Amino acid sequence: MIAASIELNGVNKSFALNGERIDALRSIDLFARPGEFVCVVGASGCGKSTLLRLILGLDHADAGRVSIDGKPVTAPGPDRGIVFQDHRLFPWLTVSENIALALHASDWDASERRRRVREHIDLVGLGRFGDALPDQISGGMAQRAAIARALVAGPKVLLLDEPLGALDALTRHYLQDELLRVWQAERPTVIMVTHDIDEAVYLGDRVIVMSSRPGRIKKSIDIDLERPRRRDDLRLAALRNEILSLFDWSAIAQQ
Amino acid sequence: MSVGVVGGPHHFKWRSYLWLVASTIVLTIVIAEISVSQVSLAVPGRGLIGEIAAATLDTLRRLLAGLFVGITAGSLLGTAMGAVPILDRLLSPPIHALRQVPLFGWIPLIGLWAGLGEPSKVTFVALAVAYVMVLSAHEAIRSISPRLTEVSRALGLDPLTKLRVLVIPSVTPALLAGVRIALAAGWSAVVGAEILMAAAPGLGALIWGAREVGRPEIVVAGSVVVGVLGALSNAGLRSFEQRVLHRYYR
Repeated sequence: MIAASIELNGVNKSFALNGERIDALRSIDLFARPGEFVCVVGASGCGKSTLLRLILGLDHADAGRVSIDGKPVTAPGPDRGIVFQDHRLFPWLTVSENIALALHASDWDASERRRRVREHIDLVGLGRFGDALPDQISGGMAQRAAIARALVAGPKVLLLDEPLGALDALTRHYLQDELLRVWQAERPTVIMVTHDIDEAVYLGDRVIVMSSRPGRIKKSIDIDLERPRRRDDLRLAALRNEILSLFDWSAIAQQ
Repeated sequence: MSVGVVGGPHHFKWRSYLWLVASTIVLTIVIAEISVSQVSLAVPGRGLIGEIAAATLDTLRRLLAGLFVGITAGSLLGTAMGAVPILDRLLSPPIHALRQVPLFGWIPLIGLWAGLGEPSKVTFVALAVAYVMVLSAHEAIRSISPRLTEVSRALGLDPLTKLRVLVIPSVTPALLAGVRIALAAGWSAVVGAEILMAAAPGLGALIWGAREVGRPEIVVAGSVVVGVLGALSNAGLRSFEQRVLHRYYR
């Protein structure tokens, strides 16, 4: 699989909420290299999730351009996979059936589809649970199934919308390393939205800090640390402090 | 598959319905013995059985016709209202206003529009059924999770796949529950229509006619048949419902 570049130029997006106009995103310029792992952090309501919805094609920008490998995004497609904060598996389908759903429009024949589903179940470490229903497995396992569903069609872009935000701390740490392993195995371009700064500096090649209302990109910080990284690396702590210092605490206090 | 878990409640349900039927019959005999001492109800004559059987067939035919029309029309309208907000806003107020008219209050009007023959009885049953189904179908459409709808869009599911994995599993429980309530409504409507709209062959007419000519054993036997058939159809639908829902909700 060849990863794709993601490019946003001068993107604006606003919503009407209870008659009030909210600038979710204003003048967003962003370029992600093929295969890059980009983390986006910001206070709640800064338009992080809107950013992902635009790249996925679920929403359209009011102004500006969103493109994948130079081609404008008009609708969702198999070249992009997404994992939400909640697993959003269909409760009446098994783990395998849920993952296979992402292949419904693929050109592969039935046996190749089965092979890919099997391979991705193994990739996320759910080997024995292919026939389980979502409510028969833990939240962490369901989230791994959702990651497999996002990857099974071989997307060039993987979008992660706070995928580990609802998990307990131990599962979260474990799945952070799993995500890195999966990313290194398949090498898609990743945009991960998170509110966990430690997570962002540990996982990302780059961390983008956003301000809210209107949602703008405040700064882009390269994380030039060799992989595999150590969680107790002091350079990570320094980067974390640098990012924390960028937040407007008075605005956060008022929310 | 956990057959034991599914099998257990099923057998229990059927046993409890058998008990219901048996106890109804015993109760009937006791009441009949007390109130009409000279009539032997336990062994009705062949003529009576034949009459009741013929009436039952007429009633069932009418009920099925009414259910078919009412479920189809009610589900379509309810689905449309659930799916298209503007239709919901336009149609909900009048439908809820009309619902305030007691069902049997419609009989004179239906009589004016459709006469007192077969079409008006079927219309009456269909109306009773459609009310229930409009509400159930509306509810069913609203029970489709917006989050799963979004996933379906993100995965770019085609309409048929979407119907199979999202819509049908989401709406089935509410629809089936609606059908069961509609069936009960249909039963009371069909018997009521036969009593209140000009005489026609059927269980309601048989019961009412027997009252007029002073044949209490037919009144009792007819009522028992209505009760037993109602209970059995409810039990059958419930068992079907559990089988279907077992696939979706475990």
